[in-house]
Amino acid sequence: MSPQWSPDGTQLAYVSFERQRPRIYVHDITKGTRKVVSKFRGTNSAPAWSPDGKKLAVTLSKDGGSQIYVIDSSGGSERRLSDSRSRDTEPSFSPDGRHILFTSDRGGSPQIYRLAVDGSGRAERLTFDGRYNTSPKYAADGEWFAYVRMEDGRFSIAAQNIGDGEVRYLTSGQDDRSPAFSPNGKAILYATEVKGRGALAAISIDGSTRWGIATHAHDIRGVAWGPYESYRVEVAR
Amino acid sequence: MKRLLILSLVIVLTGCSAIGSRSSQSEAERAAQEAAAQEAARQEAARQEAARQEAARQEAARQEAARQEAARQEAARREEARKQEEARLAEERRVEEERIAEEQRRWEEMRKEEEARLEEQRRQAEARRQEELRQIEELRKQRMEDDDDPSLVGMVTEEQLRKANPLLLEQSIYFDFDRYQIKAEYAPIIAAHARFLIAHPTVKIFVEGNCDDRGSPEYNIALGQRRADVVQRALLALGVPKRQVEAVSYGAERPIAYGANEESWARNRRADIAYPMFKN
Repeated sequence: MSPQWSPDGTQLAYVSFERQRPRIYVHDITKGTRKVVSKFRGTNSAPAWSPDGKKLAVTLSKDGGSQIYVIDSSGGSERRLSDSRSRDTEPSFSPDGRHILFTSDRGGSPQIYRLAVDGSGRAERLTFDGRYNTSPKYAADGEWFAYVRMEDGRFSIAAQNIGDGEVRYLTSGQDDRSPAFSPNGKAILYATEVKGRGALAAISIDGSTRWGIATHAHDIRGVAWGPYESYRVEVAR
Repeated sequence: MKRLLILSLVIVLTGCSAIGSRSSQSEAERAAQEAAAQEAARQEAARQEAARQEAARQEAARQEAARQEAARQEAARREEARKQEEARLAEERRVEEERIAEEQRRWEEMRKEEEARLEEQRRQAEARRQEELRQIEELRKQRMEDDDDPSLVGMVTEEQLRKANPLLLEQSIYFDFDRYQIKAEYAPIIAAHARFLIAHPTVKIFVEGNCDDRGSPEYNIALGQRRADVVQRALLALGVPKRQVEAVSYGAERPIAYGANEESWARNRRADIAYPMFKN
């Protein structure tokens, strides 16, 4: 699960349970080789590439509670980034590599926070609307982020401006999840449900255009848009 | 030049004698004078010859001295070059000897390191062997103590669990949406598992956290980990050694119910206490 393309499109980071435990793998598409880059006790999940492709922000529970760490994308040298007694996960690097967005339930419900990667400053809460806001993804301009919000048991995709807090409600699905920006930052790909079946759809970030994407998968768990527009990865069950 | 002077003198003397003859001097006197003059000229010539020879001898001696000086300098130069060459060779020998000594030191160090490494390997192998023996002994004791043990150490059967305590067949703790607090009704079940694990130290379990599949898959991994962690902490608090329990999250990735309704979701929001089961 949680596939993420490296910025240069040659590698794919993802989580696999194949040894009964969630571990993070990096698969080199060009060579066909792969490597476990994170296999600490407990959770190793939610990899996110740094813009230069050298680092991965990941979620580990090795020190108790799920927290965000930065590791080398080749494995090793982990550095703890978030420091709370809550669940922190789903990191997303800003395009300049200086911040991450992540989900934390430190306020009693899952909300989206922003943190400086250099460890300076405290985590800053960005979402206040509703009791369930998750899966933040930075847009290419670094000003907007897409996320999943829940209201009345329905999950939908929204986007928020970091600077002025403007929110755009983009979809109104029952179970929309896993937003992923197109490489040019103009569209958001996401997993949804159509007539009880898993489906893929994309929507322009101003919400004006929405289109379905054909897939054979039944239950789409996550999706990642490749850096060259032409290919994507979906994880299905 | 000298010769010219002498010649002029002869001519003058001759002239004088001619003048003398004209001034009515006797023939004999003239002859005597002439003879004397000739004798003088001869002597003068001989003296000059001697002087020339002397000069030539001196010149030769001087050249000889210069030649000897040049030879001496040449010899000195060769000696100097020889000394320099010797010094260079000596330096080369010294550098080479140092290099050889350094290499020997290195080899010696490598040999020592290799020996230390082998010794460490031997030591570790021996420690491993001892540990294995100790474990085997422990397992043997454990088996002797426990009649129900199905001989596969660390594994359990459903029958064994039922006999020990029927509550042990209850292996799922259920949670509310986005919650990880253990409800009071599960306390007796967790206590039963804790007692069994303490009594069976070779049995190692997973506590597997699961979620319903609504919401973010990644957030659900964190939620599932939290559910597994709280159950693990409860077991540890009841005295189960940490090495017997591993908490792991499957998030919403391994549902046992697939409907999009509260009944299915509720069945998926759980932590499982998973024994290594021996199925017979």
